[in-house]
Amino acid sequence: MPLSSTAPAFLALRYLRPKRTFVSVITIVSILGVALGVGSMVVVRSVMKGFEVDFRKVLIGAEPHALLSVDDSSGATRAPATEEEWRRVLAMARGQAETLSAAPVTTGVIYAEREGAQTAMPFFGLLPDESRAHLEKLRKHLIDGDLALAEGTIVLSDEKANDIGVRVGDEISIYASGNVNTMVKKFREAMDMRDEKKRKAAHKEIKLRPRKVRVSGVLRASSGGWYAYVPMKTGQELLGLGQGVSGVAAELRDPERAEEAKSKYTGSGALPAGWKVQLWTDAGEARLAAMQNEQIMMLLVLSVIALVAAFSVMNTTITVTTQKRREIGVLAALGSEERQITSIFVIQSAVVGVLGTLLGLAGSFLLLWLRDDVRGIIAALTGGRVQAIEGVFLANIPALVSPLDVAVTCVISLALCLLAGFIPAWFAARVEPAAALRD
Amino acid sequence: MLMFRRFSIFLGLRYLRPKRSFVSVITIISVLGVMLGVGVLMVGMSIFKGWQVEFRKMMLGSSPHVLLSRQEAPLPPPGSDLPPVPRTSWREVLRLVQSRPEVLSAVPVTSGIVAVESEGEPQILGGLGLPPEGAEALIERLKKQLAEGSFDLEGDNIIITDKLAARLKVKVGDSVVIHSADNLRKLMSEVREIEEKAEAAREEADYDGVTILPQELTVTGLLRGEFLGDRGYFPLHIGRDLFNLEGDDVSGLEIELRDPEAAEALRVAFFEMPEFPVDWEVHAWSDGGGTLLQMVENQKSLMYFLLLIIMVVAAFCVMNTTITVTVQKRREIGILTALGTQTGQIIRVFLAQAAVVSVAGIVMGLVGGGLFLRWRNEIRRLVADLTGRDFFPQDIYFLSSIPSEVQTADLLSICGVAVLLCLLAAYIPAWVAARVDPAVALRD
Repeated sequence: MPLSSTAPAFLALRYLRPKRTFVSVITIVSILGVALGVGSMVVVRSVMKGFEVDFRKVLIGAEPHALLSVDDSSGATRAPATEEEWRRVLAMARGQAETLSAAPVTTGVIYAEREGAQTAMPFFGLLPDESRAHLEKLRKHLIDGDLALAEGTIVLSDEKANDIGVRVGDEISIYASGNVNTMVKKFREAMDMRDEKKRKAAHKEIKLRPRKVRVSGVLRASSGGWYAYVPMKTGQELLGLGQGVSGVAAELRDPERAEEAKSKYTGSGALPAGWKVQLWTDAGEARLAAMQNEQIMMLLVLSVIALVAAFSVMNTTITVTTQKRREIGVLAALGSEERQITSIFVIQSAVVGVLGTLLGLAGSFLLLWLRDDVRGIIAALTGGRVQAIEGVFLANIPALVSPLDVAVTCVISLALCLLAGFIPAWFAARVEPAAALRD
Repeated sequence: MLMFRRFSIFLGLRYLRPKRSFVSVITIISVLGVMLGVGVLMVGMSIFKGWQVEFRKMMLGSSPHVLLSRQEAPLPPPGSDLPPVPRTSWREVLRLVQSRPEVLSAVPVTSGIVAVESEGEPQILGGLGLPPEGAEALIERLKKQLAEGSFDLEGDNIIITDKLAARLKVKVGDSVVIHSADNLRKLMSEVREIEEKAEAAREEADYDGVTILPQELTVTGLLRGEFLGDRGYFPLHIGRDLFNLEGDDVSGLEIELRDPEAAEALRVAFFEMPEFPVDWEVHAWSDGGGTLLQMVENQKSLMYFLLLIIMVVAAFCVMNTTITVTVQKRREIGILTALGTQTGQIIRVFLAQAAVVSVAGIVMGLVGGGLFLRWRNEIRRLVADLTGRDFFPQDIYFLSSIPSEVQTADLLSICGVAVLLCLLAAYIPAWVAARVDPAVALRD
């Protein structure tokens, strides 16, 4: 065997820095192409991932991970959960390994009024002792007051508080929106009644069930959502549930695996007919799906960059193999195997691929690290036109470098480089030694 | 002149197809790179543009060009003895509007927020009361969106969007009860105050003092609501009853423009008009989707920037090819220089070569991109069948098929960038090569 096992690597490196020829320049250009491809891929993927994670954080920030309640979306007259039913569901939810904690809740939409100003918001009625995990999550979004949920108090979001101009300590009137519906219907019927007595009786039935409550805490709506929180008893009074509840809210050990918990809940057999399980991801489902869609599209587009960079590598390999045609002939004549000759050039493109990938990674990490400064510069140059790129509420550009994404990017880039090197190398290695030497 | 005039181009082409050498292969690969860059840019830009165009078309199809609506008069600050702002007459506003040259027609309407109820929860929506005549242009546009029934504003009728009807669980021919949101709010407040009184203090008269002005209307048509949210259209006089308007008073003006694109300009013009009353709000047709359109515009520029990177990498490929060719032809360049050829002419040899590469790449890219766009919906179906993933779900993008709008300006800028980058990529090595010392080149 004329070549030692390290010979291909030796020759590959030797051909990368020829004296007094141009090959090293085109190698550098190829490396730059690979670096651009890898760099843009990592930057874009990380920023998009960052947006998604931030968005999920906002979603996960305040709502219960899973809400098990009577399904009223079909519009059928809502039969509130009987005590027997919800106690069974609560016991079932607590029995599942995925559940961190579970507690009964009341939920619905309320109107809040103060001095003529009015606003509507969804609410949860909680038992402070049972829903400790849920309240703990809310604490991060609290900007004023406390979350003790004492009798006769309400915690609402800053935006809704601004709508009606209240602060911590102010008193407001609240009532459930479901009562408005029946109230208006009853009132209309009463208006049509000629008989005085009947009308009076009808008026007696009009029940808005308003409650006066004091604002005890204010949450940040931009991160915690628009929900208001009241003590369980207030919620039951508003909705006229007596001792009943609207459903069971569960906190999960791993919120990312909410779907699994959902199938456990529904598969347990303890969920009564007509109950449904809502997950924290449901609220932003369309947007999350859109984000994932965009990420896949981006990956496709960015792969084209890697592909064009591989073209560059292939060009370089073609040039080198053609240049070294005589040498290949000599090696072949001396008895080198085709595989050995092929690996000379594959190693060469692997070096280009690895250098380009490393350079791209370094560049992208630098860009990600300085991303807010870069945005500031762009904004200054364009006169402040470029605001948050995605047009969302997040104040600065988020970025999350996912090791898996980086690995995928590197693998794609290296695989394309190796393939781009292999094709011309394979052709070059099959040269007839006599023909190569004759030319 | 040493040689005939087209010498640069002649040599450039000659070097593109050498006999028995490899340069043509690397040239083809460079062309492929440019092709991919141009093709992907063209497809990306056209789909984004198409979406914007379709989306605007949909917005324009279901909105008045401009809607002026009178708001509650601003209350004087408490404690001040300023007189309340006098209510402005709609006739004066109409006169102002009609004095503008870009306005085609303007008719009085009644507009406001209403609550519609049937079986389930009351639904809040924007209501527009249209006069029997004068708003034909808008009605014609809306008729195109009819999914069911007819656009009949003769009797006590209402036309609503289909998604709203689904939530209300009503069909064409069913009747619904409609309140103005203001009245309902007052009713809620008054009933709440009565209930908050002690039981003994409550009087029957309390309830008699509460007024409610519901209207019972028949649903005669359903509009495809796609994305503009819930809307309701009813006759002008119904709106008058709903919004407590006296006599021939109205609460808004519906304006049709000669050119819908002038809506924004008209808004600015109204703002700058000193005699335009402050309590009238201007709503242009494009307002509804503003943030969404802005978001897509942002994404489009981000995409353009990313796709340019493909072009840059493709230009690297062209540069590599040019370097290879210049080094290969070093002796020839030396001979040409020795014979008295100017540096510029030699540079042009290689520029001509790069130009051929870029033009070939552009043409192939445009053809490839055009073909992709032509079959885009078939491709999408194929991908969906293969991967089980729809890349263009209607609930996110509002459109059932992928839109595309090939814009000449976009194409020109793509081609221009491609040619520029390729020429620049070739210029650098060509410039270096042309400055070679003939003696050195010939000696090697």
